[in-house]
Amino acid sequence: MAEQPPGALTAAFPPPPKYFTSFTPKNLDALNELRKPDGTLPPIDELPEELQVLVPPPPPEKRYRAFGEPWTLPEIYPSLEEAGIQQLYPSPSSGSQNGKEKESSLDRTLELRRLSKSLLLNYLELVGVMGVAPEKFHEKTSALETILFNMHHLINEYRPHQARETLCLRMEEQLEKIRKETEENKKAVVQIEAVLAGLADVGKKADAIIGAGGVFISERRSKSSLEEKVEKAKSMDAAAWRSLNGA
Amino acid sequence: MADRLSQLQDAIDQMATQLFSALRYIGTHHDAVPVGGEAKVTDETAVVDDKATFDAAKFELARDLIFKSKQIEILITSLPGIGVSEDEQQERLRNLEQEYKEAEAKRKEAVRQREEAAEKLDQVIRSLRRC
Repeated sequence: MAEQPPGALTAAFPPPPKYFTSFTPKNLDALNELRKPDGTLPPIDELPEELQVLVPPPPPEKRYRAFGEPWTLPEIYPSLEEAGIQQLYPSPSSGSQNGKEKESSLDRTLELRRLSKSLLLNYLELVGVMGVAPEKFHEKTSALETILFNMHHLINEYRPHQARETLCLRMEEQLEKIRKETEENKKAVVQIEAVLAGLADVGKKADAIIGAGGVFISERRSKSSLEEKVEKAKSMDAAAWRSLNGA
Repeated sequence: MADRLSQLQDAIDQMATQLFSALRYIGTHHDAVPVGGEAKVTDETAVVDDKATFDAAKFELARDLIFKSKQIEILITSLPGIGVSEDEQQERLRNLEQEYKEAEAKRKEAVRQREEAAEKLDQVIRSLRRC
């Protein structure tokens, strides 16, 4: 890979990589020429130099950089000790190194409460020290600092857990919504059917009235059944109204 | 609203700021007391509050600190999903996914039925209008 100018990766708006000018139609065609029949490319060192940059590098396996920050794969939250800070709560277990923390083996609530209590206590001691020997503040402030770091660290470790928990809640909400929608749709169907049944009733009554008056004309027998029924109900309805008006 | 973890972290940060500003207030607003027969020390940079104000302020600062501490504790106890292991969560998610799929199928069926019914009704109304 072509070397980047220094600072290029950390800039807020990094310049495009140097090799972007190599992506010319001519070079791309040349690269396609070199493809084997099954579409794969020959090993990268067999390619001519100007074409090597056209082949995407293999995905990183252990670590990579994004916006100047180093990242590891899989993502591991560095422990406090790696950052050079004393860890005040017991380590969950040795299994925390593979990125999948054992949440159950450590009571975070209890530890956080302990830490918040000792935060206050340490502050009290700091105020006391300031009253007697102000120049010795450093010991206590660094203790406070360590406690604060520990609290934040505990909370941050808890984040994946909360993410899953939130996902659970969202899914439950979604499920509830879907079920409600199903219910409402079914209700709508029942209502429509009731209306249709009511219309059929009206049709029958009209039929009875017409039957008595003997004015019914039926001529549309050849239509499809639903349409026929509808037509029938309609003409019966109309005839009923006529006979009612006439009477 | 931010999630509870962020709320908790914000509260802790605010607590740290309060710790600092409380000390700072005492440092910059205290009065000096002469020791033995010496003259009273004066500090040019300090803004000396009278005793009543100073005591009231101290009291308020201390009370605020305790409030904040209590608030942090409440946030800690209300953290979501305490005592649920990752495997349990995964299991729950899988169950939810299954339920979700079933519910979704039912929903589609219900929507289809409703559309059919609406279609029927529509036909009836149309034919009524034509005559």
